[in-house]
Amino acid sequence: MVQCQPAKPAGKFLSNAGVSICYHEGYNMRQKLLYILLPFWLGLMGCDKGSQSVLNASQAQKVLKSLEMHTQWWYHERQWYLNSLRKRPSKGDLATMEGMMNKTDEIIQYIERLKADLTKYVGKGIDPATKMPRQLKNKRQVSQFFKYFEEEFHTKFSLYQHTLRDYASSAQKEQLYNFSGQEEDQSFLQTHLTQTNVIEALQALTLLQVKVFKNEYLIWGNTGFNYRDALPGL
Amino acid sequence: MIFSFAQCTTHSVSQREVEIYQTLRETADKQRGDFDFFMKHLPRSTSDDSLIVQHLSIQKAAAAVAQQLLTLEQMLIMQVGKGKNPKTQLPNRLIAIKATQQLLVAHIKPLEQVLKRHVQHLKSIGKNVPLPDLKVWKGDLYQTSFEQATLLRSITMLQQIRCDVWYNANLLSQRVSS
Repeated sequence: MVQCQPAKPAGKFLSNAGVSICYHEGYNMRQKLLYILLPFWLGLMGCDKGSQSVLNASQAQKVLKSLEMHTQWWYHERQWYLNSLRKRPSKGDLATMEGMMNKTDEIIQYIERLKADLTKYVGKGIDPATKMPRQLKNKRQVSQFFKYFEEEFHTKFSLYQHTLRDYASSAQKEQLYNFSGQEEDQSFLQTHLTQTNVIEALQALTLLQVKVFKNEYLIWGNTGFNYRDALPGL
Repeated sequence: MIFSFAQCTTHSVSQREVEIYQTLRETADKQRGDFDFFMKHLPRSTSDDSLIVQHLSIQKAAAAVAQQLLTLEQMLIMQVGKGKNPKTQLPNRLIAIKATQQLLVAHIKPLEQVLKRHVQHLKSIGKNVPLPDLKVWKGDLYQTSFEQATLLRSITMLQQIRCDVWYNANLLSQRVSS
């Protein structure tokens, strides 16, 4: 028969204080259980190889840099459009487009601030040697970070989406991306920022900036104006 | 033990990873599009034939490297990913770490050599201009970019390299033109 009782600070089969243990047959069972579970535990420990995680972080960092390159591309492209529009004899859409792009700039800057705060407070700043955040793995803190900003995030994006729809035609409205999602579990925070580490979260936020630019392009890209006719720097 | 190893290799693919792959494909395409666009308009802005020859050389070299990356990606998608899902345009299998690594090990070393030679070629074209921000591939490419990666992550990394190849081409093109 197996007898279990709270651990005492003496006895050859007793373990650490506060842990319930079993005598005699119970001890044998524990020993057997230990033999069975030990390989599992060691196997799981083997998963967490430090060097491997560093390599994955370096891969993730390269991807992040390329995504940032793409946001820069979009930024310059819309700037090109705006500059070409300013050079046109008939200013037509200029004021409207400038107004819309200012709103987009505000939301882009908001995402940029989130990225900076995430790097500073959760990533503990940038390590000058690796050029990556010092703390990379803290998924729980990343999750807490977005939990903290969730309401503000939804408010800002709801407002932005509402404003953007004012500039869109009926057909364009149908195509616009819904950052908040139809349902709560479809919001960008839920679909892209759950269970992420710091670099993955930075990737997701940069991806969000790309989505914002592409979303805005649905409106200014369909005005029929060939802005690339005016070449910058040539 | 089997269970524990299964735990080690258990991965799932998130929507974020899928969209990152698609976005990097698009990034590389846009970078290439930019190069082609400026190439097309270059004769309008210069009468210097040697500059046009330089640009053609950059374009040809970058296109050849990018094509090798796309060929390897296609090979991974067909052989490891069991083809593309026509709806999503993604491989049918997205994880398959072991099969991905087996195929990559055989092809990455030659690719690494190609990339390093390509950078040397670009540096020789741009020997009279500063190029501190040129993307270079140092060390073991397999270790730094592909080790333990799933199929999706591997094709993402191939696209990431393709982005850098066209980024370099645009960068050099601007520097030698100015």
